[in-house]
Amino acid sequence: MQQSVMARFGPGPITVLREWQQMLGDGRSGAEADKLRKANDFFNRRIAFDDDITIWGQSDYWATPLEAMGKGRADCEDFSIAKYYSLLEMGIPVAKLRLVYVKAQLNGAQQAHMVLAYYASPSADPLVLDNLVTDIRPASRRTDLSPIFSFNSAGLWQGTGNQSSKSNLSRWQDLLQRARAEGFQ
Amino acid sequence: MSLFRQLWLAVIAGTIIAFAGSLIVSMVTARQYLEQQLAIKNSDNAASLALSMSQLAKDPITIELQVAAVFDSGQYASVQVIDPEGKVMMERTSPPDAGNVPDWFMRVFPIESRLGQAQISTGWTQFGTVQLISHKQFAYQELWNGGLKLILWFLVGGGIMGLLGMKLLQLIKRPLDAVVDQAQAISERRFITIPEPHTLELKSVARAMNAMVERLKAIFAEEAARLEQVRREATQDSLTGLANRAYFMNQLDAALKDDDAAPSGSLLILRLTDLAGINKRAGREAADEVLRRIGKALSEIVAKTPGAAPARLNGADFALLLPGVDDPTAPAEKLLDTLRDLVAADLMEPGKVGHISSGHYRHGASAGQLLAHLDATLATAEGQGALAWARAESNQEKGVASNADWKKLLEGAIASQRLRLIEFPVAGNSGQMLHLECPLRLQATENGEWLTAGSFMPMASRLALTSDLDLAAARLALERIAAGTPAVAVNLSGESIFDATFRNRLQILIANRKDLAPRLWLEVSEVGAFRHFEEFRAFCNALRPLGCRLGIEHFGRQFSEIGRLHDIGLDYLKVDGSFIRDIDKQPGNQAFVKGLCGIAHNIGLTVIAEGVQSAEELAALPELGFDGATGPAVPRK
Repeated sequence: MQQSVMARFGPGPITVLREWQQMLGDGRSGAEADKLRKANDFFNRRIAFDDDITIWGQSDYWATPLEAMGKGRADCEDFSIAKYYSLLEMGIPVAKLRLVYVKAQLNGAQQAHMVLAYYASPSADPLVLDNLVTDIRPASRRTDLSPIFSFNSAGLWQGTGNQSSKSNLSRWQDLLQRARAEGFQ
Repeated sequence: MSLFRQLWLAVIAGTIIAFAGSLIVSMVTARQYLEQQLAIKNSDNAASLALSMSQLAKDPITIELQVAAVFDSGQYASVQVIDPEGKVMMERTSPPDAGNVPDWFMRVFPIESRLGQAQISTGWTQFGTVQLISHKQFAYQELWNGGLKLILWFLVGGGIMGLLGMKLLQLIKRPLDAVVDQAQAISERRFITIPEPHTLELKSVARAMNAMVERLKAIFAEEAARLEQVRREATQDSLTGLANRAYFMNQLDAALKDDDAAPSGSLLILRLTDLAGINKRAGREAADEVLRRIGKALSEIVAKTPGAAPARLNGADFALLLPGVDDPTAPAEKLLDTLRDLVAADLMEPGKVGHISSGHYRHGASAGQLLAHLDATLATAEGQGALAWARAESNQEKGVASNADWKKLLEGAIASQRLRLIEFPVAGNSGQMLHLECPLRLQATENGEWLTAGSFMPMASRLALTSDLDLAAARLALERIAAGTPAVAVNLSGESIFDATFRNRLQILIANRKDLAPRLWLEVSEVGAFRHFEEFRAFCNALRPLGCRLGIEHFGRQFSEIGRLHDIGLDYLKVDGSFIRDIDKQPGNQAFVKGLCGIAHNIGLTVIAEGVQSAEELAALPELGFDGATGPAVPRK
C-alpha cells in the first residue's frame, strides 16, 4: 500500500499514511464512538479542504482514501468516503454507515454537500461526521443540513471488474472498484 | 479412405470448428453482456425509485402507488419495499413470462438477474429499502434469437464454405484423377500419355509416367521393326515380296485343315517356261523384272480377294491360294494377260512363256495330293502351247447355293436357334486348361448337317448376319460358363465389331451376367481387328470394364501393326497357325515368334500358339516364349 502511494505521489504522504495505519490499528479495539471520533478527527485535521477542479483538474472526482491522503487535500465527498472506508476497516458494520447528500446552509448561502451518517440502530437519530463542522453531532442538532438521499455499498452490485463495462458504472461504483483495487473491501 | 474424402472431411471439420467456436464465444459474451445490462438496470431503477420515494410523503397509499407505477410500467419480476427491520412493507411480483425460449437453452446458458437495491430515507432517519429484480425473459429471448441467427448463418455460411471447398477440391482432383486414370490404364496394359497437370507435385509424377510410356513405345516400335524384318526374311521371297515356299505350305495346310477355314477354294500354279533362258539372254536384271511384274500382278489379285495368299514357290513357280473362290477364271485370265504383256514388252520370248494350272479343293483335302494333281494339270497345259491355262478335272458337285438360299438357311437357323458351340482345349505350358475355345456350329436344316464356322461365316458376313450369330455365340458361351466350364473363348467377326448396335447389345448381354464376365474370353481375328481399328478400340473400351478377357486371333501376318496395340488394353494374342507349322524345324519362324512373344509379354499380353499339329511343335513352344497352345496336338482332357 505504501509502495503504491509512493509510486503515485512520491515520498511526501508516507507520514500521513503511517499515522492513518496506526490510527486504524488503534481504533480496531475501541468502542464505536471512539472509532468515529478517531476517524473524524484524523481526516479533519490532516487533510485540507480544496475543490476537485484544483486537486484533480476535474469538476467532480471521487477520490479513494489513499488518493485523498496522497494529495493531502480533498473535497466534502472525499472526506466522507475516506471516513467511511476507515470506519469499515475499523470494524463498523456497513449497515450503520451512510453517505448522505445534504443541502447545507453555509454563511447564509445554500450549498450541495455530502456527509457521513452513523446509525447506532436503523431507526436512531444518526451522528453526522462532517468536514465543515469538525466535531461529531447528532443529526437533530444539525439544522443547517437538510438530507436529500443516502446510500452505502450494501446490496450494491459492484460490477465484474471488467474494463469494457467501465463506461456503464456510476461514480459510486467506479469508486468502489478503485478502492477494491487498492485493498479495501 | 480416398484422398478426396480425407480432404473433404478436413474442410468439414475446419468449418465446424470455426463456426462452433465462434458460436460458443459469441453466446458466452452476449450472455455476460446481457447479465451486466440487467444488473445495471436493476441497480439504477432501484436508486431512482428510492430517490423519488425519499422526496415524497411516506403514507402507505403513496408508497403503494409509486411501487405500482414503477412495477406496471416496467418489466419486473418483483419490486419490494422493506423496512429497516427487514419486514416486507410492500410487494409486487409477477410470474416469469413463458416465452418461446426452450428450457434446455435456459439451462445451458443461465442468465442471472442480480437484485437492485437502494435506501429510502425520511430526513435523517431510514424509512426502508427498495429491492427490485427485472424479468430475465427478454434477455433469454435476445440470447436465443442471437443464437438462432448465428446458427442460420452457420448453415448458410457452412453451405457456402462447403460449395467453395468442393470447387476447390475438384480443381485439385481433376489433375489427380488424370494421373490416377493413367496409372490405372497402365495397369490394364493401355500405355497412354496425359497432358501434364499444373499442380507441381502431380506434374513431376505425370512427367515421369509419360516419359516411361514414351520410352516403352520407342522400345516397342524398335523391336517391332526389327521383328518385322525377321518375319519377312523367314516368310517372304525377297525379290517379289510374296510368301516363300515354306510359309505358303503352312498357309495351304491351314486352309485345308483349320476349323474356321472356308469349306472350299481354288489353287493356281504358274510356271515360267524358261527363266534360265531369260537370264542368259537378257541378263539377270531382266529376269528379276519379269519376276517382279508377276509378283505385282499376284498382289493386285490378292488385294481384291480377301483371304487370298500368293507365293513364289521356287525359281520359276508361283502359287495363288484362293479360299472360298470356286471359279478361278478371273485371276487366271489376269495372269495370262500379264504374261502376254511381258512378251509384248520383249522381256520373254513368244515361244517360251509359261503355263497355269488351276484346281478346286474342298476342306480336309490333302495338300500333297492337291499339289500333285495340279502338277499333272500343268503338264496338260504345257501340251497346249507356249502360253496356256488348264483346269484340273474336279469331281465337285455343282451344288452352289445362291445368296437367297443362304439367307433363308442362316435366318432359319438363327430364328430357331439351331446353333451350338463345339470346344477345343487351349492349354497352358504345364498342360493346365486356360480356356475352351468354342467356335459356333450351325445346323443347316432340321436334323440336318452341322456346318463349320468356315463354311457359313463368309456368307453370313456378306449378308450382314454375323451380329446375330456372334451374339448367339456369346450367349451360349455364358450359359456354358454358368453351367460350370471354367473359361470359354468365343470368336467374334470383324463385321460384328464394326456394328455399334452389336457392341451395345453384347455389352448389355455381358453386363447382365457380370459375375461370369471374367471367365469369358472374346477374340477377333487379326484381319477383323485391324480393318476397323477404331471400332475395335471402341469394342475394347466398352467391354474391358466388365472384366472380359480380350484378344486377337490368327495374329502375325499383320505383325507390323502391333504398335497400335499398346494403348487398347488387350489380354492375349493367338498366333496364327501358319507360323507354328513345323516350328521345331524352322529357325526363321522361331526367331520371329520368339521376338513376338517377348514384345507381347512386355505389354503384358498372354501369347497362345494356334494350330499346333504335332507333339514336336508343342514341345518347342514354351522355350520360344508361348504361354499356351491349341490345336490337334493339344490333348483333350
